[in-house]
This record gives sequence, structure tokens and C-alpha cells, in this order.
Amino acid sequence: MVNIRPDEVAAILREELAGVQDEARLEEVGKILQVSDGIARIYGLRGAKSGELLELDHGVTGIVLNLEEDNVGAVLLGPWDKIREGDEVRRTDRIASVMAGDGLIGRVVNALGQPIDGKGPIQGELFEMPLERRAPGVIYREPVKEPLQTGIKAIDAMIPIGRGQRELIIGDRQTGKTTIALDTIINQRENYEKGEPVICIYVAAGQKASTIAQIVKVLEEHGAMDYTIVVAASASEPAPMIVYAPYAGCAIGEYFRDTGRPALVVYDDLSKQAVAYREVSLLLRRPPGREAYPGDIFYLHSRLLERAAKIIGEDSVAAQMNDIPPSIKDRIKGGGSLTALPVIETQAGDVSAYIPTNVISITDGQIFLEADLFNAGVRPAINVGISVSRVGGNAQIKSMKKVAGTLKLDLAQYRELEAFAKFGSDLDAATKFVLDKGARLVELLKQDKFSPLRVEDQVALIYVGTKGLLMDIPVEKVQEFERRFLEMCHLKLSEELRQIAEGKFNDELAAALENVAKDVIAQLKS
Amino acid sequence: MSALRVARRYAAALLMLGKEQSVEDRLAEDARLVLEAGAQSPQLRNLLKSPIIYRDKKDRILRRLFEGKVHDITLRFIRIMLRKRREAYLLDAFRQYVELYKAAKKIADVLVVLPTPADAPLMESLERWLRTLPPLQDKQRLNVRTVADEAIIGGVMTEFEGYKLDRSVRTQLERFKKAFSLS
Repeated sequence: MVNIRPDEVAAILREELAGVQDEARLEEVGKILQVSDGIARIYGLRGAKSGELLELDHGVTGIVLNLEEDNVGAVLLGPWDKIREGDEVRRTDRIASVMAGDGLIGRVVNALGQPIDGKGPIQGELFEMPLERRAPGVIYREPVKEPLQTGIKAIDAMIPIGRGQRELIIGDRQTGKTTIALDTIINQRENYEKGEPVICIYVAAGQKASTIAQIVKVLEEHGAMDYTIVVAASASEPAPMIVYAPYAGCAIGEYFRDTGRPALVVYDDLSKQAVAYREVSLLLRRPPGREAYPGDIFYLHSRLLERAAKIIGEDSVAAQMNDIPPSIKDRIKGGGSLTALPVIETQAGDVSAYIPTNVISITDGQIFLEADLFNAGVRPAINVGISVSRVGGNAQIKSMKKVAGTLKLDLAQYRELEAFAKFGSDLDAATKFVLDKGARLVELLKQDKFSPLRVEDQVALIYVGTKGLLMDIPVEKVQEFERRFLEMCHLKLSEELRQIAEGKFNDELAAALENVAKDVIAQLKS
Repeated sequence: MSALRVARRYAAALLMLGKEQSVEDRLAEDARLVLEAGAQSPQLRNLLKSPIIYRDKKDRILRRLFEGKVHDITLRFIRIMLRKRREAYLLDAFRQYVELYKAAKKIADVLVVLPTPADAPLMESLERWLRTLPPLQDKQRLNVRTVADEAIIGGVMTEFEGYKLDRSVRTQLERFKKAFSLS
């Protein structure tokens, strides 16, 4: 019979408890004066710092937001229904943080970085990344120069996004804002397959839980969860969780950025986060300003979006970056980037409301979606007239720059003359040409959701469109042309397409594309 | 203006006057007396807060209550607050006075919880130990109050000026229990 010796049991117990802190620390403690709506007022904690993490009973944590004469105002993260007046609150001397690491990829987590997808604990090494952190200084940044392909023709051609850029997606409800963000994430599959993944973080702030589940399903179906992390704070969660979800997503993105990898973070959406912040601020009795938002609502968004950056390529300079969390100090690498795609929902197309104007002014451009275009069947419903990308032009590949140069102008002329379209045959030839070409270009830029195109395919299509080769086919056949043309190109011009993807575009390549286009047009005509 | 700010201004002025005339210790005793009276008597608290009792009536009552029992400066201070219509903050002002007085004199109130009542030698060694703790190192006087509580099983727990040091066996056991339930 096998015997277990008592000293063996004791040794195992000792080993298991090795990490337990058994030495008591001198703690600064305070007492709860009042708790309501996820807000606590705490007496004591004279040394508490703004943004510091507090420990309460029942495993609840809080973040100090208000430092007042005789009390401290804090937001509570987690269920606060068991917290009572007079309960003890302890300082931690740490600022709120999430644990980030490669193990998060493919997971759905809450605003505190805890998994909520039922797949067990996060595996692998995790690093403590602070929720609030100062953005990298000027010395540690590089200008935006590398493209981040969205796979959407209208965006990659006319409103290009570069790595490290902040591009706002703005529009009314049901205009396809989330779809653009999801398309962009799905399009990064190409990079993942090449072994150069752009890690995507999708932050759902204040959305319906069913919508979040649907988004995760779409990402899974398109194989995008292999390189994506979803940070979810649904509408049913307390306001502080919605406020901090974008910060958690940003902190996770920073882990990848600072370890030399490209990352993309989508904040969907910041208008709901602003509403949650307003709720918290009003409960903390901060004075309301315009639209009852607190005075620091601009800073709430600017400090978040400033953290998107393209980091300098030299490791030695990047290693000296400001405010590096101690947990990743030895792992800093240059060349990483964090691209931000904030989403803002407007009410009845009003971009001059408080939050939209704030975020427009902070970001490096905006993609404006219009309900009228959406309802007219132009999808993605991007209004190219008022959508801009201030820095992305430098990041566009040369071939795209060459072919898309006149696209925006053609479309602008078309929009200007569109009103005359109803006069039909009474128009002069020049006007008619502009209208016909414009109508075909609009048709060409239409794209189904979740079907991003490779950049070389986009260049080929846009070249054909801007060159006016589609004038010979009716508008309703443009989509059919697109399908057949791409099929033929893949079949006959695979080498040429590879060159286009590398940025080359010369007369030979143009001639090859034109020949294929003419063949397809002839087929369509017959 | 917030009650705390009003109270602190009056208390600071009282402490300054007390120091000038070297009666700050006596004033601190008076402050404790008034605070104790306020704590024990809801009528006194209501009297100070009531807007419908005439001020001269309040003055008469307070004089009858405290004349001869407190220093002349304390009585004059009470009457000034009354005249300036700040009597609702009187108890807050005395509370702040005690705080400011303790800070100026480097006095700390310390609560020590032990599993059994403490005898004199234990008290001495306790005070020696307390003086090694950083926030108490520069204090000139410690007002140690001990409480016997069997529930802590063993060890010691102490609280002072917003700090807490829990070296009780109960807390240690709880920590182990938590570690086991988490892993």
C-alpha cells in the first residue's frame, strides 16, 4: 500500500502558498460615505491620487476621479450592490491597468481585460498596461507613411488610411459605420497570412450585447478572430465600464505597438462613451457644460486618440520612449504602430453637434457616411465630397496614387452636374460625358459588405474606371463587368497584379489592363 | 461655502490666538468638552442648527451652559460665531480645531486591537513598535487606545490617521483562504 507522509503534504501546501503575501502592509484606508449609481464618496484616503486604483470589499475595484476637500469621489468597476456605507476602501498606489499579451488574441474580454467568452483564463505571459498613459512624444514618432488597406475601393483610393493615423468614421445610425470597421479588420487577413499580422482590437462601447455577439460571429466566420481581440462593454454594463472600455482597448493596442508590431483599434462608438462619461461626471457633481457634457469631454477623447502613433523605427530611440510601463521595459521595439478608427454616431446628419465637432478636430480625417446615399443603394454610403484623409496620402502605394489621382475630381464634377441629369438629351456632349462617367464610377465604387478587395484589384478597377473604358457598357452592367474583369485579371495578369501590389504602374501594365478590359467589354456587349 | 472650509478658517484663527496667549492646550480641552456635549445632546445640536430660535436666546443658553466651564477665549469664540451667524458650524469648527491642534503638536490617536487586554509592559513594547512605523516616527505623543477583541484570534491590528496595519491571525487566514479559492 502507498503511504503519504505528513511532511510531504506540508511541503506541497507550502509550495502552493509560496506566492501568497503573508506579510501585512501598512495600508492607507478610507471609509465609504455614500454609494449610488456606480459612484462612491470616500472619507479619508488623504494621499489618494487622481486615476489611482482603489480596492473595496467583495473584490470590487474603483478609480479615483474627484479629489475634494473632505472626501474622494471614485467610480466603481464591478457589481457595487453589496458595498455598504462605512465599508473599508484601500489605496493600491497603482493606476488602473489591464493585463495584455499575445494570449488575448482571438478572445473577447471586458473593460478590465477579463475574458467573457467562456474559453477559460487568458493563456501565456501577460503584461500590466496602464489604462491612462501619456501619448508618445514627438521624438518617438514617425510620420505616417505605411498604408493600412481597408479593402474598400472608395476609401483606399480617395481617403487612404496610414498606419498610426486616426481616421474618424462618422454618420447617422444604420449607415454602415460598423461595417466599414469590420471590413477593415477582415481585410487584415491578408497580412496575417503573409506572417505580418496587423493585430486588430475592436472595442464595443455601449452597444447592445446581441450586436456584439453578432460582430464576433462575423469576425469568426471570416477568419478574422485569428488576429483580433474584442473588448466589450455592452449597454447593460455600468457607465464606468463603457467609459474605460476604449482605454482598455488602447492599452492592449499599445502593448503591440510598443513591442514593434502594427495594431489597429476600432472604438465603436465614442459618442456612447461620451454619454457614459457625462453620466459619471454628473453623478460626481462636476459642473455640466454644453449639451450637459463636462468641461473635460474634449480631453477625454483627445488623450485617447493621441495614443495612436507610428513609432520611430530605431529601437534605441524607441526604448527611451516616455511613460513606458515597467512590465514591458525590456521588450520595447521600434517600428510599431497603433492606428485608430473611432466611430461617431450623428443625429440626423448633424456634424456640428458638440461631440462630432470635437472628434473631427482631433482626428486626421473623417469618412462621412450619409443615410441618403445608403438608401439610394450607394454602399458603402461614403460622401466622398466631405470625407478627407489629412495624412493618408503619403501612405498610399504609388500605383494607387497614380490611378486614383483624378477619381475624386471626376466624382466632384459629377455631383455638381448631377442635378442636370434629369434634362437627359438636352445636355451638351461635355456635360453628358461627365455625367455618364460619374454614374459609372459611382457604380464601380459600390461594394458588398464583408468582401474587401486586394489593393492590386482595386488599382486595376479604378484605372479602368477613370480611363473612361466603361463608357461603352450600360451602368447596370458595371458590377457584372467588375466580376468578370477581376476573374480575367487573376487568370491572365497574375504577374502584372503582383507588380501593381508592389507599387509599380507603367504604360505596359496599363496596356495589359486595358486589353483585358476591352475583351470583357466585348463579351458583355455580345 | 463648504462647511469644512468655514470651520477650518475659524479653527485656524482660534489656534493662532491660543498660541499667542499660550492657552492652546486649554482650548483643545474646551473643544473636546463642547464636542462631547454636542455628541451626547441632540438638543444642543438642534439648537445650533435651528433657524427659528432667536440669536440672543441661543447666546443666553450657550453662556449658561459653558460660562465658568471653559476658558474665556472659548466662550468669546462661541459668541463671535453666533454673532456672525455661523453657529451651525460651531461643532465643525471645534472638530477642526482638535485636528489642527494635533497636527501642530504632532499628536496621533492610535487604536490598537489585541486578542487579550494589554498590561503595562505590553503597552510599553507596543508603543515602541508603533514608533517604528513611518507615519508615526515624527510624532511627539501617541494617544494609544487598546481594544480587546478575541475575534482576531492572535496578532495585532492598528489604525491611525487613515492608515491601517493588520497583522492579525484572522486576516492572515483569510488571505490563505482566498489564495486557495482563487487557484
